Amino acid sequence: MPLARFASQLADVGVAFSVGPFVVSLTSSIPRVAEGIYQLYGEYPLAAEGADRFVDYYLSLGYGRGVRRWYHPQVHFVYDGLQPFKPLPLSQALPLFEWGLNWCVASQMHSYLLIHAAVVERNGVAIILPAPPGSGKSTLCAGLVSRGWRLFSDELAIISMADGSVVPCPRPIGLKNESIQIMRDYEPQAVISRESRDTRKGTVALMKAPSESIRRADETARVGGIIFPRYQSGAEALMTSRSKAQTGLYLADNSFNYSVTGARGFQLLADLVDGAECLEFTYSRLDDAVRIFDALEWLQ
Amino acid sequence: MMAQPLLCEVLIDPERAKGLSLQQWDLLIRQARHADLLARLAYLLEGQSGVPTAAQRHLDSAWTFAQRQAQSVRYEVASIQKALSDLGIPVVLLKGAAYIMAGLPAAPGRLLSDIDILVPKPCLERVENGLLLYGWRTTHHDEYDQTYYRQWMHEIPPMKHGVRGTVIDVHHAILPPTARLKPDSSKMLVAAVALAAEPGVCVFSPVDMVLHSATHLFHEGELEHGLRDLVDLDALLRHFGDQSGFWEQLVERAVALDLVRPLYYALRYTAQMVATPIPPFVVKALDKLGRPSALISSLMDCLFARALRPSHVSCDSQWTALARWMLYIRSHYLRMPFHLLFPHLIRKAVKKRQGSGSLTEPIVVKE
Amino acid sequence: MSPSGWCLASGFDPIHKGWSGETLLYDRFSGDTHVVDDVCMAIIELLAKGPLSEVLILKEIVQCLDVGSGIDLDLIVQQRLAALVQLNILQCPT
Repeated sequence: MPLARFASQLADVGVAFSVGPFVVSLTSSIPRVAEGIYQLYGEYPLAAEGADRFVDYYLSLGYGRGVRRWYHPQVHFVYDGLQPFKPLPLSQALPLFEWGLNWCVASQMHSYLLIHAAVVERNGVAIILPAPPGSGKSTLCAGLVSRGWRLFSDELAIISMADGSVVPCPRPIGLKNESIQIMRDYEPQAVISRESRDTRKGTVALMKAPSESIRRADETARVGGIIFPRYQSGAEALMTSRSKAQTGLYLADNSFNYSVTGARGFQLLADLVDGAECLEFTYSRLDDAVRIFDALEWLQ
Repeated sequence: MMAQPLLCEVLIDPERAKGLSLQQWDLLIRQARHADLLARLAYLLEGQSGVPTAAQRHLDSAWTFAQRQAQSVRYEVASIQKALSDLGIPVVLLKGAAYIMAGLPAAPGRLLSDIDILVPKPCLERVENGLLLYGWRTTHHDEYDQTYYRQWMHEIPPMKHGVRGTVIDVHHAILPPTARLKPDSSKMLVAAVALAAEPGVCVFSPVDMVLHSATHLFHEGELEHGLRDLVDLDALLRHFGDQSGFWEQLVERAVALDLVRPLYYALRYTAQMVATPIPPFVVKALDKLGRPSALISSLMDCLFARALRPSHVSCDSQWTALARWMLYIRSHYLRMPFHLLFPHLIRKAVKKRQGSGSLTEPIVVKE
Repeated sequence: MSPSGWCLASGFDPIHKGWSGETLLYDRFSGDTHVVDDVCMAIIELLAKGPLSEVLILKEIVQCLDVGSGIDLDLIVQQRLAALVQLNILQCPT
């Protein structure tokens, strides 16, 4: 579908597409949104039409009412008639879409255990990368998926309640500040959106998920490792082991809905930690990181 | 006559969900979510074959949430019991918390945002102090709000637990003292029934529970939850309606407590919206005792038929917002004489406008 | 509340999984999750059978844990008891 047709459909009836396990319908008449979504989500499968269509999240991004639109334009995020957030400057429309969709899933998809972490996969084995801010989690994730690892998510580990496997939800990777240039240099082929400046997190840009990850979004994987990355300027790459109980507690604290899932969530989390290598990884160079991840014994 | 929303059709007869297309399931889930009835729907459809996976995932999610919330209610009630048991004051749980603790059929899938309790008015200060001692803090630090609550309301400002963040609304009556109807809440306190599991904690007797739910729905003006409240009433009436003498007592009690009119509306609209079976003799008795004039009656039918639909865009007509607004004004008017009400509503409207810019930032994904 | 000694908090309903010295524990009643060490777990398992005085707790712990000499187990147990009260897992004797 050419951009012009995509934009007019987006403005008119909206476009519904599959993002991993979810179907999202997006409506927007904002040209910047049409262009950005086309660039980042153009390869995602379109949802069924007519009586066979089931949409999980009806979203729209609009200008809002009033004259403000002409001197200080803003973007409003609307979820099925509700506005869970205050509007943001128009330049932040794409990050707002990502935040908003995260919010929808995190606040109402309790049929999965949802953990704030990146997830990548190779040879059918997934690695969860949970991390505090500044740990370089997104950069590491972007680096790995640029070198053949499959992207599951850079924000949201979605764990199946039924069997503890991770469910892919490949979406654009949020890059912040200097990571944007690092990724442009590291992977010149990467598709990276326009930058949004002056967000809460500084300058943000979104890197499109690799095509293969989008194509294989229905292939789940078992969790082989839980690795806490820590970027430390000048440090030699070093992998050390980590307490399983503390890893479990950290994941519980950094889960969006662990507290909602009760005893089932606990059991799932305890089994997850039990069956996975729990490690801490300090690094300063992306190439080292990729080499060490590629060589992980339990992945072969 | 407006078409019945799909959600109401399925609430009345869960079998109706069989054979829905995916697109209809999509609509059903959205209506139920907006009406705060998604977990209730999950309960009603439990074990039914043919629910598509895409819809089941949302039902499971809501059910998980409701179950966890019910557990948290049990924990909170135990904490309240601990905080207040030494005072020897009867504490009556109201609405959602009462249904959950009493294990009533209205409980499964019932969501709530806070725990409501009723205590005798003379004990209010001791209750407040007891809760403060166990970690609850007052909210609404604005002096106007504090004074407004304490002078005109039937509850004190909500209290929030400092660690858990859970909220208790402490009531001393079921309606404000200025309300046109004058139910004697102390009569309801006396008739309350103790919970076996929590010494000192009670719930209303069956008839009072129904009357309170009806009064709440038709006087509080929160009609976005209107359908949810009708579903509560439906479950209570179907459950208690089988007990011998219940319906006779219900009408008698409504007369004794000055709550005939809310009961009249409650039975009328549960029957209309969710097909609650009401014995004909009750309908006849209430027609005689509580039916408003023909003009008011048709106006109310017209307003409630719109306002009680699920608060979802698919159920809204151009008149829905107006109907909800008129009923909101009505609820305030019923609670307070106009010379007191008017300045208050203006103040609320001004505060709302001032506050509208400070909704939560999208700080949801933790950094 | 038992006047006769230390006991588990009323309602406390744990499930847990342990790995070499540390246990991840979930209380189904409060919804809280904790990491506790072997001494704590031993105390919890002991008190699950019924309330006990501090002296008896210490006696039992010595038997079920393999502790080397020179370790002030008395002090350790005291600290753990206090910590478990903080976590709403135990109730003090009244």
